[in-house]
Amino acid sequence: MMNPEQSSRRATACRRFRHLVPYMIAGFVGFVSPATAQQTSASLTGRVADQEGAALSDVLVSLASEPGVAAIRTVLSDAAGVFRFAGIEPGGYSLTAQRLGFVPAEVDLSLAAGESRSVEILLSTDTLVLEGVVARARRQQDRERARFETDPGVTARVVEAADLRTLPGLAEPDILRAVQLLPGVISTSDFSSSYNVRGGSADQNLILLDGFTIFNPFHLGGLFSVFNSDAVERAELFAGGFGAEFGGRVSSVLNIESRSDVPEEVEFSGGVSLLASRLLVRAPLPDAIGTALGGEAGTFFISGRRSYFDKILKPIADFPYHLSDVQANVGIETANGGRLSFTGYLGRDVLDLSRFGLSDSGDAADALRLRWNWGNQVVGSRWLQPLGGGWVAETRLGYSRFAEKLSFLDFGDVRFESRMEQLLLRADLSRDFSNALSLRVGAAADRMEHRNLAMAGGTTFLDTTGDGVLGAGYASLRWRPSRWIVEPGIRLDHWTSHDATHSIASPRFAAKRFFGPEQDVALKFAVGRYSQFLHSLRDEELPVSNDTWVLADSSVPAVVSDQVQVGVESFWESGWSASAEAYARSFDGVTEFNPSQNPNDPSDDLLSGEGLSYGLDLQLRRSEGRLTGWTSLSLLRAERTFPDPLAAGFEDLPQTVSYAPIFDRRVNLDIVLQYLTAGAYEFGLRWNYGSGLPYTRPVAQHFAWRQNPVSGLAEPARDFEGDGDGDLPVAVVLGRRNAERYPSYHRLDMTVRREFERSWGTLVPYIQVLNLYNRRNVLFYFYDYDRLPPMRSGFSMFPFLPAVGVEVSF
Amino acid sequence: MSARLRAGAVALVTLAAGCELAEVAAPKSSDLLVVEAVMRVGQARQYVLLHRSLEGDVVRGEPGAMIVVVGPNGERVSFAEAPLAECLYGTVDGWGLGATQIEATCYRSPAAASHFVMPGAEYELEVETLRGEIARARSRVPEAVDYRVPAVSVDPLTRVATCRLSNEPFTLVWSRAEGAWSYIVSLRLSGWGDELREQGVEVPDPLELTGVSVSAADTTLRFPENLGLFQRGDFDQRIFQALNRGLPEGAASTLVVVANDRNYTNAIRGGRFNPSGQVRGSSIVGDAVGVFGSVAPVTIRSVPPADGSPLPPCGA
Repeated sequence: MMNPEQSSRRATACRRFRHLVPYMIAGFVGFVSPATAQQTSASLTGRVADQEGAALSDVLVSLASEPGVAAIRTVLSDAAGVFRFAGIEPGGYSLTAQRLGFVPAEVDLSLAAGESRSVEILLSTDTLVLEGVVARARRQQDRERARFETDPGVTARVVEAADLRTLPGLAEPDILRAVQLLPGVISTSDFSSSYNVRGGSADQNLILLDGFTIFNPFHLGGLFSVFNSDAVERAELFAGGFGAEFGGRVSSVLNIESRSDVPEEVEFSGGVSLLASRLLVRAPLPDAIGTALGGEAGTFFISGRRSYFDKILKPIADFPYHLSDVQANVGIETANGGRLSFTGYLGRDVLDLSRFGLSDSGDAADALRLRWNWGNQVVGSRWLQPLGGGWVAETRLGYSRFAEKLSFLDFGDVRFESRMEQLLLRADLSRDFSNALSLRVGAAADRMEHRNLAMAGGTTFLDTTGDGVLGAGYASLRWRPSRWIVEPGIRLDHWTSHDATHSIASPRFAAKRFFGPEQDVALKFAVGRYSQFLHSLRDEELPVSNDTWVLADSSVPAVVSDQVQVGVESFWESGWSASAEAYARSFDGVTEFNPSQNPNDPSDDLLSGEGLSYGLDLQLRRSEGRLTGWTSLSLLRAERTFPDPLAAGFEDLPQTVSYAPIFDRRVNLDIVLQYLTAGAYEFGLRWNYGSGLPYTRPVAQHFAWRQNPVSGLAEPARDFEGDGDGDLPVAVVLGRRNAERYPSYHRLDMTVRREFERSWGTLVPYIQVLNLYNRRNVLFYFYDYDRLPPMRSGFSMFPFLPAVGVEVSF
Repeated sequence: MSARLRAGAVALVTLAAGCELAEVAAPKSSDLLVVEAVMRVGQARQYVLLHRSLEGDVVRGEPGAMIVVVGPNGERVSFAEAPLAECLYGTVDGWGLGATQIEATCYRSPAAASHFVMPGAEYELEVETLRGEIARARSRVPEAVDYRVPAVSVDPLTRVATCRLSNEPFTLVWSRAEGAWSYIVSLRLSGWGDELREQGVEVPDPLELTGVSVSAADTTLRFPENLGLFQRGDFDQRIFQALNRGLPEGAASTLVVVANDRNYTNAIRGGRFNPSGQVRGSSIVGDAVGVFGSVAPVTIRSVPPADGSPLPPCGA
């Protein structure tokens, strides 16, 4: 236990850090000397489409002073195929557009002072077979490079679908397990796809599917993510330095983008793994439907996945669990270069022990039977539309729900239910005001509602209901004087719950300064305040569990996090990139269960505390060539401080406890290599090293007594079965919280894929091995002090775990 | 999340893919003094158990300690050592502990201080061992509890009523006890279950089933079907199905509603998750861990007299 002086000092450090933030913003704004926007420059906007006129997103559009020389500016076309360059010096330029599967196009043009030129570029499909790994990596770097050139503060990391194939998941590719390999991201357990970013809790990560929240994106308590890898185009993780448009969570934003490329005809792809079988159908949208929906060309896909152990094993045994999910997406090109898309997701886990223990006659009299279902439902629409005059509007309307229900079939008085719902409406507008100045404004309204109920034996152990409306508005200005990008912004969040309101103004500021003749090196700085109004009650020290959400109200605090980061990043033409970022974050209003909560006082169920984290993330990445991959090194120090409720009433005891949270992995190293042979083999290798995670070591155990309720005398505690096997009823006495560390973690995973081209399509069998050298990474230690000498045993995480699967597409 | 769910999660992990790690010697256990002291309203004498943290399967005692409970007006009640059996319900041999030796030390309050624990009062505990360990704690006793349904009057000193409980299921209602953090409802049942035994069901005799209510305001419970909440995995389900139909005819039963204070509630409900076992919220400060709690019980004894005379129905 900390002494009071230490606790107080740490809490004070958190407060001091938060108080510094406004000064840092003001100071940095002052540091960047104002300059007049150049009035004599030109601007260029355009749209990229295929030969059918359908918009092409993610086309790399580069502007160079002449053909064959390094680009001055590079952008990616957005979902409507639109790209923009502002603040261009008058003169002659070579404009190129390239995207995987299309023949690059080049346009020479000349821009006069003050001119605003608009161009349309049509790309024709490329029939050449490209070296997949080269082309794949190119796109990934394109997205990160575009962020590098246009976004001053945000730390964005991209995992493309093609990367995903060679990154070992559990039985099959898993986008969330791939995200765990990025710098600043750590995982605390092999058993969970959940992750922590830069010292934030897992519930502080916003996970979006096409811009719509998924509250609990896991199957089987976190073992697998809900995302079908066939349906994913890429995942982009924003790990810090968010602009004013970001809200809702304080630690990170992960946006999973569904596939949006347009197939020429109906395509099928699928796979069979040890976990599940899956199928994806993609096709151009029939013209009649597109027209009926007010658009032009379009595409759609629908994918489904289901685990099958329950079906396969049915003749032998009742396997009680299965998962299923369905994901669908429709994209329609609208008039005037817009795009309308619809996203839907339905996932479900079922643990059905309703036949557990049934005798042949169906007599369940001696069995305790239960049914446990949980899953997400998401539906949303998104409309991106250039409005003319330089304005582009994006509107999102969606609904997301996570629900869980546990019931005991023979006991109607036992119920566990948890539900979280969100109805969201977002509108964003952006405009290039002048050649060097652009504005982005937006507003959002979210209605959220939660219900958590746990009752048994006539007693309600947990019954929380809450709802609220989050109204938000933001504005950010992006100013690009010479080699600078400067982005001040402000976000206002107003949360109204049934019994409380929170209004939080979140100033944000980011700046980037480019160096070098090619402007391929940049220093960047970002500082800002972030807030969120919901928490998950999930105990992160449990490796497998579902999220149980609660919303902020008069007794549940909002989380306010102040963050600052400074870094340097560089991209080279050879496909290499590197970055280094240092950061510090404070968290006010983090919560955990109060182990001494007064059942008579519903307001003390959660303890409200503070957190602090700081660290350094380094990444070196190669994105071109046969051998690609990255190395990321993350250094972190995290701390949480909470009141100690058991010390209440004893003034001479410290009233707070500070400790390293479970995700305080001080050193995390990931090495990811992907290699495409000249033949059709693809190899993936991943090695992860993590310093030991903290845990609380029991220092002693004692015989556990209770008072017999009838006699008033002592007897062994209730859980003891008294079967004479010498297994004692014991209670554990813990040492200082999380003061010990498990041994360091390391693991090597491997994937080998072989592609067979056949007349009817493509067949890709793969082998995947997790923990190739069978490292016994510690999940838990168990201490037995009722033995002489005392013994320590435990459980490890994944052992050597091979898996095979096959993917098919035609 | 409840301890049961946590245990389920750990079990799931184990089943999924976890592997046992090799056993190695652990660091030596800290030698800690453990205090088990739960003051009980209506009980003539109060008991305190002192023992040491486990070293192997020996529960060593702590003889020679000075134990004082200080009342609200400063009155000091000194406890004296007593035979261990006086503190225990049942016998060590009957608990099936294998080779475990229970050498805990029992202390009891003097006869002169009979029934000194009063509802609503605050008490302080002082413990000093011969080796110089000093521990202290504080507990506020919940206010007294009374039955509303069935409406029975209890002896004001012992808090016990004697009457015949209904054999039909009913909603048990008791009065709110100010200061209670939880209630335990316990039913001890004997002299029944022959029909079930004929079906091969193992029916313990006596059978003790427990229900809980959390918060001072949660003062009802469906009787007897809401009992045995945490024991449903321990017994044959046909026992519970039989009890859903009401109290068995002819059974001898003792029903107790116990209002628990903060400290005892924290001790029995368990604290944060730890894979090595249940963590109890200690209410002892200083050189010891354990509990200094207090409870206020009220009892209905429904045991047919040996002479066959009928008991008056409860609430009549």
